[in-house]
Amino acid sequence: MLALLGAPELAFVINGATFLISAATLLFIHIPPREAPETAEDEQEKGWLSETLAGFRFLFRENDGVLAALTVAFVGLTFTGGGIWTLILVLSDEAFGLGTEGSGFLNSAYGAGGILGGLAAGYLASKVRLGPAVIWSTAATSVVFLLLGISPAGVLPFVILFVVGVLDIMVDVNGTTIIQTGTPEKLLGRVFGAFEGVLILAMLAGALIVGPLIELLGARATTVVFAVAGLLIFLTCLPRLRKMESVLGVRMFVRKVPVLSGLSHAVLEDLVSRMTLEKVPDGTAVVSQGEVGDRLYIVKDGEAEVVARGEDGRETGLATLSKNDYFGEIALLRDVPRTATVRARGPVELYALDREDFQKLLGRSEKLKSAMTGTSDARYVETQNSLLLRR
Amino acid sequence: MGTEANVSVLGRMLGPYGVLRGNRNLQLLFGGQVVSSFGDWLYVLALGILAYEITGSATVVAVLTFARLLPYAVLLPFSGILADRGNRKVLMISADLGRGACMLGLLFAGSEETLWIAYPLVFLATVFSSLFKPAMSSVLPALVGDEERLGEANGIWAQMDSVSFVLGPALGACSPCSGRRSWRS
Repeated sequence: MLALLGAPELAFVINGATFLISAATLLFIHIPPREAPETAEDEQEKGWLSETLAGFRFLFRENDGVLAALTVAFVGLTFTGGGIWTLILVLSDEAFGLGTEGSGFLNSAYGAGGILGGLAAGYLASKVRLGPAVIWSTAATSVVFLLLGISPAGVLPFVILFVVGVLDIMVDVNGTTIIQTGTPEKLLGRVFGAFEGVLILAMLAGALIVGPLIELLGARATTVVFAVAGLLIFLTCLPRLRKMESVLGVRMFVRKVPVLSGLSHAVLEDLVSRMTLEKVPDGTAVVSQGEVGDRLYIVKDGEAEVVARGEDGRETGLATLSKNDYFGEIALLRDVPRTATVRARGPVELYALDREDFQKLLGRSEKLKSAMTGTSDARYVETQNSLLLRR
Repeated sequence: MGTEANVSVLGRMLGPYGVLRGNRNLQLLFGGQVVSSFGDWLYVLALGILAYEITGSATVVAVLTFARLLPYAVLLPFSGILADRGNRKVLMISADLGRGACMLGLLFAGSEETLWIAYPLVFLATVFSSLFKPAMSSVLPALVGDEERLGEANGIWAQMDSVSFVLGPALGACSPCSGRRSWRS
């Protein structure tokens, strides 16, 4: 239909109209309010430059470097992406005998791959783990792109670019989802700004360097150089990328624990660095009534039952704890022996925090101290009442 | 039997679209963005063709492309703070209106004497896009709600963008080509 209309100016009018449509749809969208910064440390994060750099800090200095590794691995791919259009154009003309016109069809193969890649990524999102998915798709993208440099003319370049299109979108979707889920909401804008800014720089660098490289080495060799560079960058990042799930998993977990959810990013980061993971078999007592308490526990996965033993030696069930619940705080806050026994009901995974670190954590957040003390008091009274009622 | 199997495979592949079901906010966001993304690809292609038709210079096209991309690299790291601190909805709507105005301004860049207008307008359009992008990325998790389904939503969005990438330039190529044909004749 557009073929009948003509002129680039029409494209500008159409694009202008699409922005108006976008703005109109946004008018009707309700965006939930974001979580509010509430701690003194968040408030301290003032100053334009400091606030701006928070996105870079989160990407490159926190999370044990796993998001830095992800960003750098993406830089390797985006650097190639900056040169890919020029490479396709020249490869089409010089290596594949398709003329410059053929580059349009090769680009279409890449785009068609992207359509399938979007479907596949969405379909696989709930079926595979994001960490391995992003590792494999990143590695495969570089390897398949390398094949383009040595591919004979014919159908194969189309197939290769189709597959690159599929993989590229899968990398993009998985990476974006990892950053979205691994970043506190109040930092998302800055983290994405930093992430995309770095990638655009890599793309510009790729776009600038591809021309001289083609002049120097030819299109095929340049394709191989770009692919190998991406692969080497990926391999450098691989050790950190393999730690991604465990490093980000614990951070995502603590943000969802209700009593911890209001803590500042800095306090949570400190907490995470001090927590240890414990795996407890079915039926094992994690804490036993009467013993000295030295740790706070948060249930990561599984269930645990809380029981208290009366003077007659019989046990009374007090509660069942599940994911995100915590226990062990009474002994630490009141400096008394354990008031109840907590026993694993099936295999249980717990995060543990020792007494000293727990006290430090409370010292950094009045809100947390107040919430923990409130829960501790209520639980202590409930335990005592239950035992009294049994008498 | 075969048809049932096909429907089943198709159904499974389209399964992620279920994330849109009952989520009016997400439907509106994606609906608006797929239209806007289509226009974006059309614009990118048309801009290069316009500059090349007027000047016959690949350097001018390259400089325009550079002007189009540079603000992203410079501004994206800083614009994220507005998405984190400001009203994301107002930010996105303002950016859309700004970009729309830039597109209309480009209508006056259609000759050799007025082509210079394109440089600041293209630059400005990307400035507005730099405001929009982090806001869009940061708003998506809040609109999806269920973190488990975020990957599906990102997949759908990437797919829509790919469709725009294929259709935008395809239709864009038709549009200026026919214009050139009629101009030549």
